[in-house]
Amino acid sequence: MPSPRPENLVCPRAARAVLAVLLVVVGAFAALIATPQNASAMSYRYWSYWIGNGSGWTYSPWGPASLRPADGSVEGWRFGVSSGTSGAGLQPRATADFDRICADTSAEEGIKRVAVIIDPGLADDAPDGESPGGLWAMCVSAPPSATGADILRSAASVRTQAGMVCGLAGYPARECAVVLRDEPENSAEQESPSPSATDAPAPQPTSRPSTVAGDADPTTSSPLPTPTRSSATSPSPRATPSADQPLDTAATEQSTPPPDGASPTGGVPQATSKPAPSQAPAETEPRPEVSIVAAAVTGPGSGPGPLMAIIGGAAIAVIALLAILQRRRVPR
Amino acid sequence: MTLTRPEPRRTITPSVATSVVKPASAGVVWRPLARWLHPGAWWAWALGLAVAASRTTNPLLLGLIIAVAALVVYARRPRAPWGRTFSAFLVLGVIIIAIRIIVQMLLGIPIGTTVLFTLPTIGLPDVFAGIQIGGPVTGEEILAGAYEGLRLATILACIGAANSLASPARLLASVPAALYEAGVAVVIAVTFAPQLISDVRRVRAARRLRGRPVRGLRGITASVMPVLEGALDRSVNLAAAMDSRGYGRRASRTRVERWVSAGALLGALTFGVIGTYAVLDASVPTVVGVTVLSIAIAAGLIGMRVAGRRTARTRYRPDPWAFPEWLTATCGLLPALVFIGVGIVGSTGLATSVDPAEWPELPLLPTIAVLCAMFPAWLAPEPPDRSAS
Repeated sequence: MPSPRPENLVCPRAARAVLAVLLVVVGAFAALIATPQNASAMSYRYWSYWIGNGSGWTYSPWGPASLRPADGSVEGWRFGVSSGTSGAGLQPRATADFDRICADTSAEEGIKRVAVIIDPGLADDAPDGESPGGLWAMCVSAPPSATGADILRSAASVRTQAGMVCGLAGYPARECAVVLRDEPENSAEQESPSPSATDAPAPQPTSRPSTVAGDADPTTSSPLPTPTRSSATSPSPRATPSADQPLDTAATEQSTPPPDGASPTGGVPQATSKPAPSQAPAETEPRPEVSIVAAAVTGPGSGPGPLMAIIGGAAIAVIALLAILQRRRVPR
Repeated sequence: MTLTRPEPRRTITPSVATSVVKPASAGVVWRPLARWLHPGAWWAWALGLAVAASRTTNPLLLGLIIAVAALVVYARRPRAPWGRTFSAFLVLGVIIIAIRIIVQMLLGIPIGTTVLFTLPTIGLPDVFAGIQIGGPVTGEEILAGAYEGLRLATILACIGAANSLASPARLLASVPAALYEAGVAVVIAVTFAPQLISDVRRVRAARRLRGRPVRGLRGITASVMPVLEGALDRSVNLAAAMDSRGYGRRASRTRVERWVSAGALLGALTFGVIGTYAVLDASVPTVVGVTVLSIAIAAGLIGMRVAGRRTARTRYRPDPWAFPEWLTATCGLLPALVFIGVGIVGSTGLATSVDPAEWPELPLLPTIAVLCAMFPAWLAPEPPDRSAS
């Protein structure tokens, strides 16, 4: 046993100094981490979910399966790159104009009408090797219990993964809410302020409806909402739409929905009403055209074939066989 | 009283183990001389595979990982009792997949549109508005449940592989000196658990011979006391025996050492928490997270080292960490690195689409990495008790 040395009398002070330095360093790092948004902040590329609020869009803090849109509401979906988790600057590039989209769908008793606008976003934001189509909109007639997810499924084919909406109508083809390290090039649109600065999860989880109004699951009580609109219109060939004209819905015979694979049912072409002046804020970027479709837009089925699965299964079988042989090698 | 089971060793030095080869009778087969591989190497290999499995829901990759783990286990497990635990983990995995699918069917989020059948819905009060029991069961839902269950089963299979490959006593023998006392406590607990069972049997047999009830509440309550008494007796005896052999003695430490070890361990804990958060939070630059985490690891190592000085013991026949250990650990950690890297790059293949249901892919890099984990089945030395046959 060593006897107490004289240094011991001095050492607690030194040790305390060491501890103090440690605490300062910890605090400095904590402050550094707490500082929001560093230069190399990450951004997400995903389909964001928006709710029309008359004049503009509100970023939905809920997943589409948790919301039951009311009759006459407008739902928006926009694909793009967002540097935060509140969908800043990602709202659909069209006015949430219910009257225009649902002009030709008559209201019925016991059926709600919900307008859906789907905006695949800018070409700059597209994944490598893919290009976004144009905007399309649809007036969905659905039972009152239909959720936002049901409404969406009747407007486009949906690819989900782990509760997130990954692709609409086959765009993007494979990826799902990827994280990008590089800051996206800021377009004029992405600098516009976020309509809702509330913290919300980046991808929209399609969770259980949280507002069950005393009835059963929508899929049990009612079949999927079916589109009732039989006529389809296409965008007018106007080259330079004015900023105040959000929805160009001139009636033409032929329907050209944006992504391929769409199959709008033919019908009696009907002239839609004239575009009403909108109260949308002036933006520098021209509004893209919106085509109103009558049936769900589906993307090309681009899943991998069963060949890889067969090869993989064979490999697993071979290794398992080797394992069984090894097991028998040593008598127990 | 022996706390750990003595295991036969054939190899004297690691250099001999790696260099000496013995020709088999039929033809010349080169293989490393039988010796116990360091248990840490097996655990590194298995945990690497488990991390890789946790990053994917691709059933092909998960199946490959299970098959590779099984192959290595059956090729290199010892004949000791713990060597037979792997199949139990596989059975547990099957049960977990079944439970996962059933839970998904009863409570899960509705995925997809392919309704197979509809279960009766149980109404819950409004408090549980987000929860629904029963309802329609879709094929996509069952597929998603099966994939996630398979992932969990694969992780379990990896843990099971480590359990049956690495000797628990040897693993405890190589814990850091700072954790020496905890290691001793675990060894005692592990050694006494079987003795407790034999105690219970003995007491029950004695009661049966005396014509007393051994079943039911009375039988259990009456046999608890003698069993506890025996355990207490044994622990007092063991404590006396250990005390007389010098267990529990500590080398004296200066005040500085105490302060440094406490401060470093505390700092390691704090930095570890902050660093883990920084690494997981996408809005924090990666550099900061990695830096803080490495500071935490460094502080932890210093703290362990300083704290370990209080035990002035040398290790008895420490397991060598030589080339086979490096090889085994690398073969296991490679899949973990590849899977994490591929996940960060964001290329597809690790996740299999459930809605719409698609065939799983076989991504090239992760597949090769998983196949690399197979090498220890041939390149790791055989355990001595196995090659003796």
